[in-house]
Amino acid sequence: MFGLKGDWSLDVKERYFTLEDYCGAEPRWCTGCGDHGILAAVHRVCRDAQLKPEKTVAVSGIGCSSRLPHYMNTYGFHGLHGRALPVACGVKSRRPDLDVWVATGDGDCFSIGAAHWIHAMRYNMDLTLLVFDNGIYGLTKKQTSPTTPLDVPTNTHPSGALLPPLNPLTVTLGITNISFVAQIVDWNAQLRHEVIRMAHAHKGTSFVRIIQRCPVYVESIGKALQDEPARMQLLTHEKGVQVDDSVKRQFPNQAEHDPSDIHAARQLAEDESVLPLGILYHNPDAPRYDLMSSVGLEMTAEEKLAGLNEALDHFAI
Amino acid sequence: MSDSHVEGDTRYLFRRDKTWWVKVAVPRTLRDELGYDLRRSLHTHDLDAARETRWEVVEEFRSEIEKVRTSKNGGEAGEKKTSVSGNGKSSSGPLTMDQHIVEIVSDSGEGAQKCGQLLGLVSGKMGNGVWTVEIIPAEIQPPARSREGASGIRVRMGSKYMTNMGNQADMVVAFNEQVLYSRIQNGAYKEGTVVLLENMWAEDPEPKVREQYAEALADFKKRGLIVHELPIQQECLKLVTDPRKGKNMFVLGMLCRIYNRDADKAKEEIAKIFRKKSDKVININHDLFDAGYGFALDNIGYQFSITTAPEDRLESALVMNGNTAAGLGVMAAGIELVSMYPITPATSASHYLADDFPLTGGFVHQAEDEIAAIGFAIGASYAGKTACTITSGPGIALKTEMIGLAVMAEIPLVIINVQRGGPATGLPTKVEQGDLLACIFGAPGDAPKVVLAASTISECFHFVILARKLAESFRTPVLILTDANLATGVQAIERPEATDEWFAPPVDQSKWDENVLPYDWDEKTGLSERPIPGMRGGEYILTGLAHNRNSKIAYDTKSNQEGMDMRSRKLAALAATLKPPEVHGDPEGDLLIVGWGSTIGAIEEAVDLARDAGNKVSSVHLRFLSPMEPGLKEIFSKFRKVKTVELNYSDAPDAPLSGSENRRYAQLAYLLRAHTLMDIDCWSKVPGHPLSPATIGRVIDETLEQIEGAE
Amino acid sequence: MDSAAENKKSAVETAQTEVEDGAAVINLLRRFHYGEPSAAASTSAPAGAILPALLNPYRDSSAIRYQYPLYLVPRGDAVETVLARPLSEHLAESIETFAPAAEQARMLKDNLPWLERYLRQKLTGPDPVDAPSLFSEAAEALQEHLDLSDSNQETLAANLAELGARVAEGSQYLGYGPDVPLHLFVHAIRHLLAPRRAKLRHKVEKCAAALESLLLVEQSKSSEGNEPESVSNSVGPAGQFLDSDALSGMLEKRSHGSQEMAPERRSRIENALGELTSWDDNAVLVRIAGRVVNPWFAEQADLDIVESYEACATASELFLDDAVRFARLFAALRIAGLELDDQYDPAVHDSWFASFDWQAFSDEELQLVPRAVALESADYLATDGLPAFSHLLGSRLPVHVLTWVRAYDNPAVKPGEGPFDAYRFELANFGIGHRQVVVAQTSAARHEGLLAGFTCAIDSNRASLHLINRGTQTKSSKPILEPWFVASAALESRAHPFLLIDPDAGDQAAMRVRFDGNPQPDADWPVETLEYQSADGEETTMELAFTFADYALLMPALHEHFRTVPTGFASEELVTVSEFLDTSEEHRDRLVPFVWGIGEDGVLVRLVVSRALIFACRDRLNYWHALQELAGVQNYYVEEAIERIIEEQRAELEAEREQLRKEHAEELESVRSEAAGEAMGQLVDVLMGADLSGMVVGGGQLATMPAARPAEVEAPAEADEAGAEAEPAEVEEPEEELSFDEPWLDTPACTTCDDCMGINKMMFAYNEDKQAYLTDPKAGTYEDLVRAAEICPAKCIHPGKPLDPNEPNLDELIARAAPFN
Repeated sequence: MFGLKGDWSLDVKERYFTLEDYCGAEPRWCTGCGDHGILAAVHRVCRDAQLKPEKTVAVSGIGCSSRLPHYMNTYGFHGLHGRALPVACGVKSRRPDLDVWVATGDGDCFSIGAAHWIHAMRYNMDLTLLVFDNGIYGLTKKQTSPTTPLDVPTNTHPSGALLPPLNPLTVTLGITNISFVAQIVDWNAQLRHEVIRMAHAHKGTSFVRIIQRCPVYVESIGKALQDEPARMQLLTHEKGVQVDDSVKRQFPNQAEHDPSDIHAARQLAEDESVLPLGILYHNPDAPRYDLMSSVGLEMTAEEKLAGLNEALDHFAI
Repeated sequence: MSDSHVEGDTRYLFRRDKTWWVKVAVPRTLRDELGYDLRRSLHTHDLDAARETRWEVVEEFRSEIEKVRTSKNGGEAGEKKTSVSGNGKSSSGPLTMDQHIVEIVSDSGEGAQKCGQLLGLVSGKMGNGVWTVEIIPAEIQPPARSREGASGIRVRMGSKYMTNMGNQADMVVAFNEQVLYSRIQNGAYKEGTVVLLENMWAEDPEPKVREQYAEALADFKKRGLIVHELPIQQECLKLVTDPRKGKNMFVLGMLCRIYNRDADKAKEEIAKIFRKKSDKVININHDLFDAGYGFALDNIGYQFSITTAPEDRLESALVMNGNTAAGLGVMAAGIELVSMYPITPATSASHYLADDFPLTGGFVHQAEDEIAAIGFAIGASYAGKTACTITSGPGIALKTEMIGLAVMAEIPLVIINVQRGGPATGLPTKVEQGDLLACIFGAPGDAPKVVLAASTISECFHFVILARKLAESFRTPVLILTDANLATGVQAIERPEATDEWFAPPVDQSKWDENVLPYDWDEKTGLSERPIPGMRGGEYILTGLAHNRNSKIAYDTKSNQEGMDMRSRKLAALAATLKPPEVHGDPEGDLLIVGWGSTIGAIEEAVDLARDAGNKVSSVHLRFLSPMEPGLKEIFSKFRKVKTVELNYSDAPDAPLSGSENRRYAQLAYLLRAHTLMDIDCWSKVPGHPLSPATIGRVIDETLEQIEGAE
Repeated sequence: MDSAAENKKSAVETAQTEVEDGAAVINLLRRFHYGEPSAAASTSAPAGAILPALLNPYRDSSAIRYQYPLYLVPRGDAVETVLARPLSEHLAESIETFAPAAEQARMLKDNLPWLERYLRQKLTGPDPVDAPSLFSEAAEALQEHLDLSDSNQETLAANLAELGARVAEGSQYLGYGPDVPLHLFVHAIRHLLAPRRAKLRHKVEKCAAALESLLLVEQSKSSEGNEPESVSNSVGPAGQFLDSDALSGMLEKRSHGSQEMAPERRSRIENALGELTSWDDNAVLVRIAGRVVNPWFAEQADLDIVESYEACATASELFLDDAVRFARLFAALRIAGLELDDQYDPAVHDSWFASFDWQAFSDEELQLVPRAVALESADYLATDGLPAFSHLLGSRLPVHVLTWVRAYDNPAVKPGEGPFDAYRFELANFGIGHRQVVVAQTSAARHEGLLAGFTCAIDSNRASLHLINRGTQTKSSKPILEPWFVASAALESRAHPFLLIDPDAGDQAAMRVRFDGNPQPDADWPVETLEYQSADGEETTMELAFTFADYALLMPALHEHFRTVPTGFASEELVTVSEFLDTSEEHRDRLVPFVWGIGEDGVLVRLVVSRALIFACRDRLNYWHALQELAGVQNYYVEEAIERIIEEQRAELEAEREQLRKEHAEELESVRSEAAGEAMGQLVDVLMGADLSGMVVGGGQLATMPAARPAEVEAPAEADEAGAEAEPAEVEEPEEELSFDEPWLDTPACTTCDDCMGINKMMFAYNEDKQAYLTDPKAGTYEDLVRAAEICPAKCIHPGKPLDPNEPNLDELIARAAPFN
C-alpha cells in the first residue's frame, strides 16, 4: 500500500555485466578479418541485454566462424562440422531458460549442414543464428564454398569457381515457418549491432547472414563491395532496423521495405545485382518448436512416478 | 476374364461385350459332370448392379455343385469337406499340453500378426508363458500369394516361462497355400504339423491359381503336413463383403476355441485395439470372432488346453514387446527426451513413446536425419537433460561421428541400437547380432564407450535405467544393443516396482567451484564431474578437439595422451565395479556355450536339454561387452571347449580357403579371443530369424562329438 | 421512473366546484404550512394508501417488469462480461441468440412473460436460487400450463431447452430483498477474488516443487546420495550385474565442482518450503464483522461471520490476523523467488524479511488477503461508533464498511428527535473527509451502481465506505409500495443520490467522482409526465417534478407534514413544491406549496406541505447542487466564466475588426499618394477590389502586405545577395573539418576489425564498447597513422597533419593521408 517499502528487496542483488564479462580467450582470427567485428557486436548485445554468462550458450560447428564460442566467457559448444544447429536445438529443447547463440559459416551451414539449416529454420526455436559468410573455406585454406562468387580462383578450382554461387536468402526465405531473416555486412558497426540486437530480441530462430571479409584468401570479395556501395541496398522501414545518417551515408542506395511482407522479401532476395541489407523478413507470431518440445518440464517426481505406473498399467494382465 | 481397368471387387464376375456375367469354377473332380465352370449373364452393364445380384447366382451354382458332389460320393462328402477330425472326434474334450506352437501366415495386410498378438496376449493373461515372433515380409506391399510375401506370426504358448520361439510349429493357419512355402523353406514345420488352409483358391476364377493350389495341396501332403481345407473366406462373407479385413478375427475365434482360450478376455482385447474406432467396427469384429469360434466348435475336432505352471506364474505380469519395454525404460529412467529418425525395426519404440511419454513429461523429437537425431540428443544432454536416441544399424553408421564427439567431450547419452541384418540396408525386418564390433570400435580414433546387450524383454526395460545412471556417473555415451527378435517378440514379464530413485535428479544449477576444472580427471578412475550450463562459475567451452583438463584446445603430445588415458581409464573403472557372469549349469565341463543378446532363451533351453541327456554342457551369457565382464578367463579355463553361439556372420571352419589363421570369427568370438588369448571357437549363422533350441542342440551335439573325436 | 409500467391506471381529476369562502381555506392551509398547531389540529393528514401522483401506476408491482430478480453470472462465463443482469433482459437476449427472427421460437416468445412471472413469483425469498434448476422447473410448468398438441409441444420443449442451455451452470437468480446488497457483495468478491486465489494456489505449488528439486539436487550430490544403497537403488534391478559398493567408491573419488549449499541457505530454503507446504489454504474469501440474521451467509464455506457490536474495530482485527498469516506465505514465496535464482543476500534480505508485514505487500498480494467487512448501522456509525469508524477510514486498511441508510432520516438523530430536527449528518462527506477512501452511496434498487461501488472498492486495496439504501421501511407495518420502488424513489428524489468516489481515478475531484447513476443528473429534480383524465374525461398530461416532498409522502411517519386540499378548491397561491422552491424569497411569502397525490380511488388530490418539510427539500436541493459541482456536472463558477469569456471574445473581435478598418483606410491613403508604376497600380486595384467585410482572420495578412512591399520590389537583388552570402557560410564548416590538423578516430564507426591494433597497439585502444580510439598519436609514427587509415575498413581513421616535422618522406605520407582527412 502506498508502495511504502515497495519491492526494492528483489532488485538489490542485481549483477551488472560489462563487456569483459563476455570476453573469453584472445581471438585468433587473422587481423583484418570481419569476424573480430561480429564478435564485438555479440559481446555488446550480450552486455546491453545483461545476459547472465552462465545462462548463455554459444554453439558452433567447424570453421573460422565456429571459433567464436572460445572467445566468449559463457558456456560454449564447439562441435562437429555442419552440426551446430541440431546441437543448439537440442540444448534449447529442454532448457528454454538458456539463451542460445549459433555461430556458423557458409561451408558449415550452407554445405555440410544444409539439411539442418533448412529444418532448424522450420523448427523456429528461439535461437540467434549468425552465419559468417566470407565466401570461402578459410580454416582448410581456400577451397570453394557454396557462396564463392563465379570465377573467383580457389585451391579446388584454381581457374575460378565453376558454378554460380548459392543464394542463401532465396533458400531461407523459401522455407516454411521462418520468422526472422536479415543480412548485413561486417564493416558497418551500427547496422551490424542493431540487426544482431534485433535478431537476439526476436523470439524464434533469427537468421542473420553476415557478409564478412576474408582479407587473407578472398580480399577481392569484400573490396569489390566496399568500393561499390551501390551494389548494396539499405532496407528502411519503421518495422525494420533503425540507423542514423552516418549509416545512410555509407549506403546511399536505399529502399523502403516492410519486413512483414514475405513476397517483397523474396523479390529482394532474388535480385542478385544488389545485396539487400537490414531486415528482410520478420514474423513474431510463427509457431515455435521449443515451446512444444519443453512440455512437461514442471512435472514433479511424484507426478512422473504416477505417470510411469499408469503407463505400466496399460500392459498389466 | 474381367479386364484389369475395372476398379474394385469383381469376384465371380466377368464381362462379355458390355454385359456382366457370373462365373463359378467347378472343382476338378466334378468337371465331367458340370464342365469347366458354370456361368450366366446378369443382363446388366452396370458393375455395381452386377456386384449386387451376383451372390444369389453364385449361391445357386454352389448348391448345384454341392448337389452333384454329394450324389457323386454318397452323402457325407459335404460334411467331410469342412469337418476337421484331428485327434479323433471333436466331442472327446481338449487334449492337455505343456506347450504348443502355432503360426498364422497370410499375405501382408491380412492382419495375421494382430491375430497372433491377441492370441499371445490372451494366453499370457491366462497365465501361460508366451513368446511371439513376427514373420515380416521385407516389402511393404508384396504381391498377393507370393512366397516372399509371407507375413504372419508365430505364437509359442507353454506352461513354463517362455524365453524363445521354440522349434517347429505344431499348427499353422494359412490364408493361402503359397505363403506357407517361405516358412517351409525356413524349416518352420515338421511332419505332422497341422495346416488349416483357406480353400477359396480351389474355386478361384483364375485357372492358374486353381492349379497352384492343387499342386501345393499335393506337395504339402507329400511333406507330411496334415492339411485341412477350410472355407474361411466363405464363412466371413456371411458377415462382411470384404473379408480381407476381419478374416483375422474369424481365425482368432477359431484358435481361441481350439486352444480353449477365454473368449471374453479375447473380446475385451479386440475392443481395446479398436477403441479409437466406432462401436460398429468393434461389433463387426466381435461377430467375426464369434463366427470363427462357432465354426471351430462345429467343424474342427482339434482342441488343446495348455497347463499353467504355478511356480512359473508371475506375481503381477506385464505383456509387451522389447521396443515397448525399452520405451518404458526410457520413462522409468527419468529421461525427458528421445530424439529419433524413423528406421525399422527400432521405430515402434518411438511410436509407443509418442503415446505415453507425456505421462512422465517427456517429448519425442523426430529429427530430419539420423545425425541430427543424435546431435539433438547430445545438445539436450550437454544442457543437463541426459537424452536418448533409438536407432538401428544403418543409423548407428551415420551417428558414428557424433558418438565419437560424445566420447571425446564426455557427454552422457543413452543410445539404443535395435539390430537388424546388415551391412548397408541389409535385412531391415530381420534379426541379426551384426553390430557388436561396429558399436564398440566403430569410430575413428580410440573411442572407448560403454556397450550393453539386453538379452530379455525385461532387460530391455531395466538396462535403460542402468544406462542413464552409468552415462551420467561415468560421463560417457552408453549403447544398449537389442535386436529385431526382442523388438517384436511379445512376452509376459514381471511387473517392475517403479521408484522415483530411478529418475535423473533435477538439473544441478548450483554455483560451480571455479578451482575445479571442467575435466578434473581423477588419476585413478578418469572420472570427473561436469559443469552444466546455468551453473555459475562453471562456464567452459566444450570442444570435439583434443583438449586439456580446462577444456582448452590442446594439440600438444602430453595433453592428447592424457585425455586418451583418462577416457580409457573410465572403462577400466567401470569394469572394476562389474561382477563376473554366472554360469548356467555346472561351473566346469566339456563344453561352454557363450552367448549375448536375445539368444539366451534358446541357448539355455538347448543346454538344459543336453544336460538332461547327460552331457557336460554349460552356458554363459554376457550383458556387458564394453567393458567386458571380469573373470571370463577363470570361467573358460574350467571347460574343454568354449564356443560362442551368435546370430552374425562367421566363416564356417570348413569354408573354402578358410583356415585357422584367416578364419573370420563371429563378433563376440573375436572379442573373447583378443580379450582372453584363449582359443574360443564360434558357431554363427545369419538366417534372418531367431535360433531355435533344436538348432543349438544340434550344434552342441556336433561339438561334443568333435571333442570326443579329438580324444 | 421505471417506464415499463403496464396496466397504468390513469388518474382522474375531479371537477372544480366553487367552494364558498376560498380565503378561509387558503388561510387555514397557510397556517398549517407555517406550522400553527391549531391549524394542524383542525385539518386532517392524508389518510389511507395515498401515493405521489407519479408513483400511482406502481401500486400493484406483481405485473410490473423491473430490474429484479437478477441473473447472477457464474465465474468464468465466457459470454457474459457483467456480474449480473436483470432476469427479463437475460431471458430476452438469450432467446435472440438462437432465434433472432421474429417468427422463430414464436410460442416461447409469446409466453415469455408467463415464464418470467412464474420465476418472479418463485423468487420472493431473500436468498439466491440455483438458476438452471429453477428454470427447468418453470419450463415444465409452462409446458403443463399450455398443454399443446404433440408437435407444438416438441417445438416448445426444444426452444425451452435451447433457452435453458443459456442459463449457465452455476448461475443464480436473486429476487429483491433486504439482503440483496450483501448477496451482491459476496457475488462480486467470489467473481473477482476466487480466480486470483486459484492462481496463488498454483504459484505456491510451483514454488514448493522448485524448492524441493533444489533440495533434491543437494541430496543427490551429497555423500549420502553416493551411498552404495542409494546408488544401487538408482540403477534398479539391472544393478545385479555390478557391485554398488565398488561403484559408489569410484564415484566418491571425483572432485566435486558443484558446490553444496551453505547450511544457512539450506535451512532458509527448508523453512520457506515448510511455510509453503504447511500453508492452510482455507477457502475463506470474506470475513464479515457485525450482526447477520440471515442464516444463508453463515452456511457459505467461503464466508466467515464474526458477531460483533463494534464492527469497525473487529473488521480491522480480522484483516490484521489474516495479514499476519499471509505475510508468512508471501515472505516464503519471495524468498523462494530469490533463492531460485540464488539472489538471496542475507546482508540485505534478512532484515527486510524480519520486518515484512502487510504494509510491504504488493497490490497483487493485498488482493489475495480475505476481504474484511464491517457491517454496521448508519445510526451507530454516526453516533457512538464514530471514533472507531473514523479511525478505520483513516487507517489505510483495505477494509470495507457496509451500512444501510434511511434516505429521509438523519442517522445522527437523538432518540425522540424527528428527522428534520437537526441538520442531516452526511456520512458520504464524512467518508470523503478521509480523503483516500472509496465512497459509494448507492441504491439496492440499481444493481449496476451497487456493483460498480463494490468492484471499485475490491480492486482498490483502500478502505471503502458503502452507503446503501434498500427502500425497506422498518417503522411502517405494510408498505404501500414494494421496497424496490421506495428505494428507486429515494434515488429519483435526490433523497439518496448515487455517488461513487474512487481516489485512484484521478487528481481532480471531478475525475474521482462518478455521478452517472442519477436520473437527469443536471436537473434539480427529475421531471416526468403524468397522464390523467380531466374532469370532462379527456386524456391530458402534466409535467411533474419528483421532489423530496413527493418521496416524503411515501413515509407514513411523515404524513403529519401533509394536509389535503379540499377537492375542487382553486387558488393562485397554491403552487407545487418545485415551483415554490424556484420562486425567489420576496415573491414566496404568500404562496403555499403542495404536491400532487393520488388515493386508492385513483383521484388526484393536492397535499399542502409543512414548512419543516420545505426546509428539508431546500436543504436536500442544496446538497444536490454541491454534489453536482463536486462531480463537475453543474458548476456555477464555470458557467459564469464561460459566459464572461464568450463576451470578452465578442468584444475583442469587434475591436480587431475596427482596428483593421482603420489601418486599411490609412493604407489606401498612403498608397494612393505614392501611386506610381504598373505594379503599384495593380496592387492598388487588388487592394481596392478586395472585399474586406468580415475580414477577421485574413485581416492579418492584409495588414502586413504593404509592409512587405519594398522587399518585393527589390526581391531579385536581395536574392542574389542572400545567395552570395550564403555560399561561404555553407562551405565554411566542412572547410574547418578539412583544415583540422589533429589526427582523430571516428570511434562510433569503428568495426573492431583489429587492423589498427595490428599496426600499433600503443597508438590505438578499445573503449568499453570494444571500438577503437586514438590513445596517443605520439605513441607511433605518422606513417603508422597513415597505414592504419588506409587499411581501416570503416575509413574512420583521419591522420591529420604530421606532428613530427622530422619524420622521413613526409610529403609522400601527407599525400597518402589526404583522401582520409
